[in-house]
Amino acid sequence: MIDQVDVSLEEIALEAQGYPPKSGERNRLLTKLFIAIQNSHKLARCQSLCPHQLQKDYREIYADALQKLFLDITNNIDKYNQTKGEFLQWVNGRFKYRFLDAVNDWRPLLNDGYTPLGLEQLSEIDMLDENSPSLYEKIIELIREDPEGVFRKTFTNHNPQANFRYIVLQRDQGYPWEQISRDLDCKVASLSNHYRRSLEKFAPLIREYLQE
Amino acid sequence: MIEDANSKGFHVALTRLAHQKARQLSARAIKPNKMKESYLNYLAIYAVQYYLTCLNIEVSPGIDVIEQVLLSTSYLTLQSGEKIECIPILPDEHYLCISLEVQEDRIGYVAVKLNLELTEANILGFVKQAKNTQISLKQLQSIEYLPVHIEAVCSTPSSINLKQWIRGIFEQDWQSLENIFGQSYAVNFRHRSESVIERAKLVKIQTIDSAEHYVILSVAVMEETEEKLGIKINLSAGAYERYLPNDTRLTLLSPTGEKLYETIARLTDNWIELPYIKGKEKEEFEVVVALDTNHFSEKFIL
Repeated sequence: MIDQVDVSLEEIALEAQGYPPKSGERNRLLTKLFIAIQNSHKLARCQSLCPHQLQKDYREIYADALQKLFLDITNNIDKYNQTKGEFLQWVNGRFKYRFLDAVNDWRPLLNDGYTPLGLEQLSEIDMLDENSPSLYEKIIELIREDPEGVFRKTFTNHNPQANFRYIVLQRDQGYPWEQISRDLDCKVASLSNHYRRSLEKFAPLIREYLQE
Repeated sequence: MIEDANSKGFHVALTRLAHQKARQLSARAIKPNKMKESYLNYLAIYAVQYYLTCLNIEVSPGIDVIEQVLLSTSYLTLQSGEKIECIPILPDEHYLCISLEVQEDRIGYVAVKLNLELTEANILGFVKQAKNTQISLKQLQSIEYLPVHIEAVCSTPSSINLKQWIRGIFEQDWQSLENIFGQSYAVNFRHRSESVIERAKLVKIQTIDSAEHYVILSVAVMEETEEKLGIKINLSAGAYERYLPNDTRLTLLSPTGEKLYETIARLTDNWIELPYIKGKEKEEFEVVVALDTNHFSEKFIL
């Protein structure tokens, strides 16, 4: 039974075929297609294609199969021939093969004892190892000590205090950009740009220090 | 058909794999409240990467640990180097919050709505620029336009459009003479008339002995009639060099590659130029700057 949704899927598919592969317009229409397919809820469940021992991983396999399907549509939409049937039928036909590919590609996750967190659990959890200082603390310490004075050397706005080290330490204390901007009498944009560029510049140096 | 707000975005299942990666990356760094931020950021990155992979658009997550620690950012890098920020939105949030640190360095900001259980992500849409740190979700552009925006930002123009120069629109590397020539501008170019639009580009060429030379290619355009443009092409020694490298060739080619004019720099030439040429709108040509076996070329369209 063809309904409104199927007709519009068909239309989008044909429109997409009219644009060159990899073009922005075609990708836009493909995106519309993907969303429409998701919303149609008419994609095969393929649960019967999932081996018994992998039923517990069905959700993972299905997500992989869906991505494979969408990629398949991206690469092969020109092969869809309207005269040979409805678009959704064509999609479902291909989906079954993609699901089987996903089953074949499935490898159990390493260290899979971990249960995914929900928002509430995430808010409560504390995953830090109390004994060793976290990487964050090491980095802040390094910048605070600044053995060679590099983190203090370049500054913005002709204000020697508006240097990378100062900004890092203020941010670590929890001061928002607006406050730091007021204290240094320097626009937020100049400060954050200087900060970001300094970070890019210093990242290799920091990395090196940490590896010692 | 009733439109459900959820039906507008692209859905991504947040699988155990997504969570495992999020946990690994967020556990590396941090203070407790930054860990949550990092975890959610990674889920947002995962979702957008999943989507772009469906379109065969390759991206890599920006997961440098130092950046993660010292910046509030989560982004994907396109093959061309541009960055797209991926921002997690909690179930009861109606705003996209953009951290000040990255306002200038991203081509777009994608809003990814997460559910309470963190099992589903819904890519709602995006904005191209972030003038404010808080953007209402109602102002988002539908996610289907992201690939269109990526294409526009990442493609380089194939020909320099000289007609647009008359309108004051210039391509990025083509700068004003004052910028390129700096101090020597006043000395050499004060005779230029107002109706001439001239821009220049710094070109680096290497000789066989691996010496690097900078030369300046400048193009002056003037409107002869409504349909015809006059063009003068000049090659000068770079700001810190007195003369052009000996034997530097400046060549004008037709669209089919046929050599129309060529001039060669001799030992003490500080500049060389091609004869004045006239052309009609839509006509194309190519300019080649060559030395030894190295060459630089640029295509132009009137």
